This record gives sequence, structure tokens and C-alpha cells, in this order.
Amino acid sequence: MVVTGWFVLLVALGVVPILVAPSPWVLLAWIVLCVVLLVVDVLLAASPKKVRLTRDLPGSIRLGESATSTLSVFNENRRRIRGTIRDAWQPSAGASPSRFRAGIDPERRVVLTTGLTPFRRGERRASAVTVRTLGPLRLAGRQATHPLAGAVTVLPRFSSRKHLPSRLARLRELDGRTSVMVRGQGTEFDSLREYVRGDDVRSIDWRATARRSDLMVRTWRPERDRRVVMVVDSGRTSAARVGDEPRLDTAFEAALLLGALATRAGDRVDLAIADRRVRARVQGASGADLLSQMVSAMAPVDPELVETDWAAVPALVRSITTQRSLVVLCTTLDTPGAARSLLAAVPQLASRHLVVVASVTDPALTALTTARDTRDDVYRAAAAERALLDVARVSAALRQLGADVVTGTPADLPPALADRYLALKAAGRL
Amino acid sequence: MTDTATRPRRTEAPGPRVPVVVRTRILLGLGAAVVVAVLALLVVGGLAGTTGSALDAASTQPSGAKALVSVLRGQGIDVTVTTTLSSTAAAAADDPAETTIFAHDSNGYLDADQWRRLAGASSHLVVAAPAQTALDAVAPGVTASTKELTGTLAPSCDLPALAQSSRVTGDGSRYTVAAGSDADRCLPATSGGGYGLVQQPFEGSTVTVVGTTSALSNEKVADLDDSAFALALLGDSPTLVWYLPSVDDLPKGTGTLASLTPGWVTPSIALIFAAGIAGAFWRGRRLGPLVVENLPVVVRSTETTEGRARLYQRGASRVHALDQIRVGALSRLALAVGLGRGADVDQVVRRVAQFLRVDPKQVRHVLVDAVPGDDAHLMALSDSLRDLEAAVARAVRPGARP
Repeated sequence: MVVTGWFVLLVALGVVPILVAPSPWVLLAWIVLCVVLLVVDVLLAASPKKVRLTRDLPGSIRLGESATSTLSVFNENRRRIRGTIRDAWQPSAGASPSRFRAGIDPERRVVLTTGLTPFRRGERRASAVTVRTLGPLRLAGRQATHPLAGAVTVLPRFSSRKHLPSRLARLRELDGRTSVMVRGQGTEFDSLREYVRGDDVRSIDWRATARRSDLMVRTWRPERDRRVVMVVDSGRTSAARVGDEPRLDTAFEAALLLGALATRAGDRVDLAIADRRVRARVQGASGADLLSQMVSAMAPVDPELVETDWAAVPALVRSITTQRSLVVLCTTLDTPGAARSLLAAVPQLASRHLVVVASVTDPALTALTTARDTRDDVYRAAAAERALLDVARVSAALRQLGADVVTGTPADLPPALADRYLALKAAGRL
Repeated sequence: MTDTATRPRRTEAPGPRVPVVVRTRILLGLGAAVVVAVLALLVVGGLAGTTGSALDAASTQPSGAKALVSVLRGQGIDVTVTTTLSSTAAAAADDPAETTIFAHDSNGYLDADQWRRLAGASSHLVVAAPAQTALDAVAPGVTASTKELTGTLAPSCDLPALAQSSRVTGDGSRYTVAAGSDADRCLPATSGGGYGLVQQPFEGSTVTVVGTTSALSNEKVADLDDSAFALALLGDSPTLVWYLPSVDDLPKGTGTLASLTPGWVTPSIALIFAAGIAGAFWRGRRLGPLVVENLPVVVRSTETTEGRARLYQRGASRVHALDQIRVGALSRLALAVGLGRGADVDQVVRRVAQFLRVDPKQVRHVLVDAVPGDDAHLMALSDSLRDLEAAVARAVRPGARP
């Protein structure tokens, strides 16, 4: 049972008869009148239990975009439903409007539309629908909550896809180029074509030229069907926020861009998200399917507050592939002490694979080192320098162990990683 | 009714926390204030106990009348001090003809009927500084003037009471008498008209209106001829009832709080209370349960850096802090002047000095040797490091090279 503000007003209006005839009996009579009206109104209200509810949900939403969820309410009463209906979503689903003023005639259906603009990645749930019906006097009514679960998957933002076209253009430049550019070991013979001015004379294929009357040159294409294995660290350090987003989200952005680029380049891409255990895996997918599998695998993963078990990572990579591949470790380079287990695992990987470690750096640290106006600032600058030096030391150690290191701010890391991949590809080192 | 949950993107700023010392001080201050207030109340209350009202027979204050009453008693006059009308009437009932009643109603407790009863209780009623209500009741024709009476007054009338005094302190109230009245007018004001003492018969007794009350007070009774005036005024009969009306004289049983309250108030309060309960149900009923959500941890990546900075500062490890800045600056300078990251310190110093064309010792002092003695020195050295880096950056810019 619920009462409305009108009922409160009705009770308060009893002051008027009391002023006219000041007596406790008037008070009693007024309260009895109010209670009678209340009971009558509750009895006349439509039953909030006699409704049929169905919810229609979008499958998934990309973070930062909007979608609509529809809730259809069928009135099974013989009376008209008037009142309020609430579609109960989690706050981070950004549901608006989540409550509706409803007037539904008997045996009729209304469709209520809720806009969803989630502001957190992962699975956003709706748990129930609450129906509140009011009586004809609008003084009181009844309320019932129907459990009606629903969920939408909020995918990573993948805002780094804006870098994809330019990187794909550079990939095409690698494709079909002649040895005018530097030819690496890993480039493969592609085709023969006619000589045009500017081609390296060394790439002229004399046999083919002899067969035809024109000068023919050989063209090369970058190696294909290499393997790229990405391991994203979802442990303790990935929970820290750099700028507006956790490090994990930046790692996802970088992994998505690299995956999109590598699968277009004809390489096979595998992804594993791991801390103490493997949180998600994407294996054996390619093309557009790969990206959709990657974002769905990433969507529900949140940073876990445990130390990442790097000792298990070589075995994880071995379980994905035994071929030589490009292994990208998206993690955080912190103090040498915290990176000890990473440093211990890298030689094993580097002996079989090409290892690239990608790490997010905080632009705030660099800003701290330059702002040295007050005493506090100087000490803060010293601590920031210390942190940068630690990162530099760990990076140097990793390079010594044979790994490649890519660092960048959240905005810079995804394109930087993609560029490193293109450079390795151009050099034929995959 | 709202789904309360903090937006996870917002980092929570810690609220201002009151240190324990400050809280203790606030508590101590409050305690001190309470003690002072209690003491002040006690002192004021104690003083009030000894003050008494004006012309109180027991009061030794300047406005009291203990001196006069003592002297009257010394003269063999039987002085009874009363505070209610009934006890006054009882005290005067023995011998009304030989009793004088002195009444001073400074708070206006008595109404007209009570004044009339008082006047009928004895043969002589002396009223000190009466208000107009009292005058209308027992001295018709006499009017209280709003003007104050001041100065030294002469009797200028032939009342026996004033025969032995020629100069009386005139501070008090002044009264005017309607023309044609047969009242005795004494102590005329030196200016402005009016009298300090008026005497006239009232229903078989004599009523004396005395405006010059200060002449009776402890403060002034010894001045001029005030004592003679007072003794003559009040000492003409063997019994004197000194009556200062009190709260007990107020009419009783005229109403309680309940009977004075209008009839609609109590039901209205009950009704508003009922409306309040209904309002609580109205606002308190939630539109369905909350939907729970696991919120992510929010850790800023510079958290550890800030913590380390505070550690440096609290431990005053200036050399260590400066060394961090120096190592950072050295590696940046090494890159700037074209040496590798792993370059030797002396190499960097020499190269930088070359670029800037300064003494290598100065550069070495800033980059290596100087030991900060205090925070000001540390800041100065940090500034010189910054200046050095800026100078090198300017020097290696194309066109500026030597």
C-alpha cells in the first residue's frame, strides 16, 4: 500500500473543520473519514500484480554510445492502471527515464522506452520492474515489484580505432612495394610487374625481362600468416587510473587496435587476459569475427586486486602456439621490485618468441617533475623523477633480456604499439 | 527511492578532517564557557539576593529603607513588615485608629479594590510613589505627573508632619491636584508645578501620597532634614505596618495554560501530527528495491608517488630528494648534448660546460657537489637545475650552437 501527497494534504485540510468547530470529535471524525477514503481508494486501485511484462534489450552497447531498451506492459486487470512504473537498472547503466507515469486501459499494452547510456564497461543489469497503481481518488494505491532480470553487455570504447585507417594505409604501402624501399629478410616474393622509373635496377628480374620484351621487376609483399599473441595483465597494477580510465582499459584499446591491424595484415591474432588465472581468451578467430570476439571477451573483465602470476605466462603462450610469434605483454612497468616476476619470465619467452612489453605511463608524472615552485612541489618532483627512473630501469632491464618496450600515455600507447608492429613487420622480424 | 551509488569515475576527495588537538581545544573552550556562565549566574543571583526592592525594610542597599525602619523601631514604634494585603489587614486590625500603613507598590500588583481595602484598614495610609490606578482608588483628584521631581524642596504647608523640616530631598515623583480639592499640598516643585506630598481624607481615614521617596531611602535619609521629615511622616502613631505588595497579592485562579488555550489548538496539533505520519509514509515508501552494483576500486596512479614525496618531506631527506631530480636532469642533459643515456657524470658536466661556455666547476656544483642545508637551499638548487636544463635546451637549439 502506498499513500500520495494528496492524502497528506487531505489529512492536513482537517484543520479547517477543526477551526470551525473546535472539538476532539471533529478531529476523530476527520481522521476516520480520511481512513475510509484511503481504504476505498486502495480497494478501487487496479491490482499491480496483474500485468504481463516483457523487456526487449539491445545485445550490446559500445561504451559511450546509447541504445534503447523497451519494456512492454500488458494490463490484465478489468480496471485502468494509473500510476507509476519503474524499470530498475543499475546506476551505471545510465537509464533515463527509468520511471514512467502510466495510464493503461484494461486489456491494453503500452511500450515504455528507456534510453541507456552506460558509463562503465561490463555487464549492466536490470533486476526488476515495480508497478505502483493509484485509486481513482489518487489518494492511495498499491505497489508490486516483479522480478524481471535483463542485462546488456557494455563493450570497450575502442576509441583508438580512429588510428586504424592511417595504419592500414601504411600497411598497404608495405604491400607490393619494390626494393626501392629497404627489403628485409622476411619479405616474400609477390609478383612481377613492368619497370617504372624510380625502381631499383637491382630488382630487375632479367629472366622475366628476357621472356618478354619489357623490363620486369620483382615485387615483394610483407610476410603473412605470422602469429601475434597478446597477453593483457588484469592484475593489481592495472586497476590504477591514469587520467580518466584504468590502465586495463588503455591496454584493451592498444590490444584492439593491434588486433584489428594484425588481422588485416593477414596474421593470426590470439588474446589472453590473465592475472592469477586466465580471465578470458580469444583464439582462432580472424577478420571481423576477431574484433567482436575480442570486445565481448574484454567487456566483463575488471581489474583483480591480486599480483599477476607471470611465471604461468610462458606456459600460457605455449598453450596458444608453439610457433615463433610476436608476444605482446600489456602490463605496467613499475618499480624493479614489483617487476621482478615479469623480468624472470621474459627470458623464457624471448628465447622462442619476439617479445614486446607495452606499458602505460602517467603524463601527470612528467608534469610533476617540471612544476617545482613550492617546497611541496620540489619533493613531489623528486618522487616523480624517482618513479620515472624506476620505469627507465625496468625498461632497460627488459631490453637487456631481449624484449622490446613500448611506453606511452593513454592516448599515445595504442598507436605507438601499432607503429612498433608495423616497424617489426617492415623489418621482417616477425 | 533513488538508486544511490557514486559514479565510479569520480575520485572521492577526502573531507576536511579536524585534528584531534583542535577537537580537544574546542571541547576545553566549551567547558570553560560553561563554567564561566555558571559562575556568572551564581554571582548575579547572589547579588540579587541582597539587593531587594526599593524601600525594602530589610535592605541595606542605597535604595532600601533599613535605616529608617531601625530608627523608627528605636523610637518605640512597633513596625510590622508585611508583603500581602491580608497580613497587612490582620496587622492593622488590632487598633486601626492608632495604626499607620506605609505602602509602596513599585510593581503595580494591587488593583483598585485592593487599594480601597487597604485604605479602609487603618486611619492613616501613606502611599509612596503610587501609580494612577492607586490614586484613582484612594486619592481621587490627584494626578501623577509624567515629569520627574528633583531638587531640594521646602514644605510650604502647615501639616504638623512637616513642621520640623525645612529642606527635604525632592527626588521622586510629582503629583498635581485638581483645582477646588481640599487636599493639603506640600513640597511644591521649584519649577513646573506639582507637589511632592499630597494629603487628603478618604472615607474616614487619611491618605498621604508621598512622591519624594528618595528622602526615605538609606542613601538620603541622613541628608538635610530628611530624617525629621520621615520620622514625622511615619512616626505619628504607635504602630506602623510596612507593606510592600508582592506576587501573592495578584488575583488567583483566573486560569491555567490549558484553560487559556483556544479549543482548536490541541486537535490541530494532533491533526498535524497525523499528517506528519502520513507524510512519512508518503515519502518513505520506495518505488521498488535498489539495484546493487559492484563499484570498481578507484586508485590514482600517482598515489604512490605522492606518498613517497610526503615521506621525503617528513624525513627531511633533502639530499636524497635532490639526487633524484639530479639523476633525472643528468640523463636528460646527456641526451640533449648528444651523449648516450649511460654517459659518465664527468663527461656530461664537461660537455654541458662547453655548451654553455661556463666553468665546469659551477656546473658540477649544481649537478653533483652542492648539499642542501635546508628547504630554502633545496628549492634554490632545484631552481638552478631547472635553469641549467633550460639554458642547455636553448644552447643546443640549431643556430644557437657555438
